[in-house]
Amino acid sequence: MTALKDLFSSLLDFIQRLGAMGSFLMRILRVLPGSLRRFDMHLRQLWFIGAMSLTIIIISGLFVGLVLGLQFYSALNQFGASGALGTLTALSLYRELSPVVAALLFSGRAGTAITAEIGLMRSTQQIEAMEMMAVDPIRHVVAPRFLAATIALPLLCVVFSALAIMGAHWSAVLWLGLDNGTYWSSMVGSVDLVDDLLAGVFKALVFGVLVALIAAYQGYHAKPTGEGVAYATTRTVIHSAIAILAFDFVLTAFMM
Amino acid sequence: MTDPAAANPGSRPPPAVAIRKLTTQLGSKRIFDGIDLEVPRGSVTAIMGPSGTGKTTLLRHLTGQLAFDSGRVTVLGEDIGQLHHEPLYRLRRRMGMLFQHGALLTDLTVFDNVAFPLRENTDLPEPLIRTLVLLKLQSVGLRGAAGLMPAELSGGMARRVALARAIALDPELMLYDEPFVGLDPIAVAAVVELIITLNRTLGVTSLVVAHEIEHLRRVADRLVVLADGGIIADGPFDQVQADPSPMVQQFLRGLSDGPVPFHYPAAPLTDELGIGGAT
Ligand SMILES: Nc1ncnc2c1ncn2[C@@H]1O[C@H](COP(=O)(O)OP(=O)(O)O)[C@@H](O)[C@H]1O
Ligand SMILES: [Mg+2]
Repeated sequence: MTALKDLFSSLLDFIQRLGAMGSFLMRILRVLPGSLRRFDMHLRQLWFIGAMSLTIIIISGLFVGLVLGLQFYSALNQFGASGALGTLTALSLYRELSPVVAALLFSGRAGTAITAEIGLMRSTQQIEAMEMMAVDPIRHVVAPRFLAATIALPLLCVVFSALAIMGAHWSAVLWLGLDNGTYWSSMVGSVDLVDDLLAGVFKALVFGVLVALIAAYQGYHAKPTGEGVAYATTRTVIHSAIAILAFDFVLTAFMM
Repeated sequence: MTDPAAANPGSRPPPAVAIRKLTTQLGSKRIFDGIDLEVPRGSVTAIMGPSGTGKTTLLRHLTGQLAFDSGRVTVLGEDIGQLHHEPLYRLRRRMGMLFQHGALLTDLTVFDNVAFPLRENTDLPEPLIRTLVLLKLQSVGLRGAAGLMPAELSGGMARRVALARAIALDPELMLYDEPFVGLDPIAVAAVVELIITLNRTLGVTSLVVAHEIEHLRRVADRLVVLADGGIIADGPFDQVQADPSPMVQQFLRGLSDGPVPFHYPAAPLTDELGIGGAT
């Protein structure tokens, strides 16, 4: 009985938190058009957030590709179907792996940085000081980071795919001896630009909104202490991971 | 310290701050229990009180950053409880606040910090902003530090830059939250001079929250003592210091025990240590 009650109250808690995040998102969206006038702020954030995550995306993309090449080759070769390696690699990357893995990495790199940065501004009273100077911190601090993260993730997702395809080429063609022409032609032949590539980029866009919202929300509402900011950063990673995987399921189900 | 009302007793101008029956509850703690306070325009009022009584909370009510439970707070003629968004921001442009820890924007230089409120709130051309910023920095003695980043400043310098920033828009009302804490004597003197100058030359109304009675005495003409959710003393310094109330005396003289307990409530020490008292 108490277990049921606990479950019920934590469910209520969860719904309440979702509501709070929804209204936080509304606040951001409301000030976004106005804050676009300060385009330099947005550009600076896009540069920071994008460049910051580029290294980890490139390295991880390359390794994921290398592994895919090895795994698919040994699996497909058993059925004499290694000619389909290019197709399989491209499809699994475009539709699934690139958006999800890039988003998870992005939340760990850029999401935590956004939370820590905003949380630190909160704990050192910079947010309050802005409010006192009649400057809306949502507009000045949160909106540029939100937009930058939302734009950066789809771009990083494409970079991830490109590097992974290079990686798979490396391991399957250069090491294991798959025919180079087969690899590329099977890839180009059976991949649809809209259904596969753009569908993945769309997923990345949704994940970008999620990570950006969670990271900004956690930072903005962090307890104004060092400990509070540390907790908020951890929560950003956990909540982002859950949100990305849950939304991935929903989006995949709808796009099938 | 120049009270316009005193010069012209016939017509009393509306007060800069008027608080009526203010009550505030934060969590389970009753911070204010129906306090009344009026601050005339052009005056400097000192506010003292044990830490945790709600001095910062009171300032946050005045700026509209924290809602109160009941009562009425009027600041510069505006009813704070009724203001939201743009009207509230308009009012805030007329007030300045010096934060306990300076609260400079860490990614901007000293110059850009002071320029920030001007750039965000006015359409002044950049050369004029530059002149204004340098003048404000000059008034706190830090024109030479314009190019530094906040991380390169000492605590006292950061506070003075924050002060320059707070007065950038020439506020009518200045709120100071513990402006002297952690400053060396020279920086204290600079802040004291600034509070006095702002008041005498520009007629800025000021509320100064601090613990240092000897500094407050120099800048303020009135002392308000907060404790236990209410105002326990209010008046000219000499009058408050002569107040016979044991609570006021304990606080002002820094006696560690009295009506305001020094010890956080606990079981008797002898019990806790398991010695004596077992009769
Ligand atoms: N947002 C809040 N929620 C709950 N309690 C708070 C909050 N802000 C301050 N308090 C509590 O209110 C009391 C008064 O705080 P404060 O105004 O900062 O005191 P002072 O500035 O006089 O030292 C303290 O006990 C503090 O713990
Ligand atoms: Mg305080």
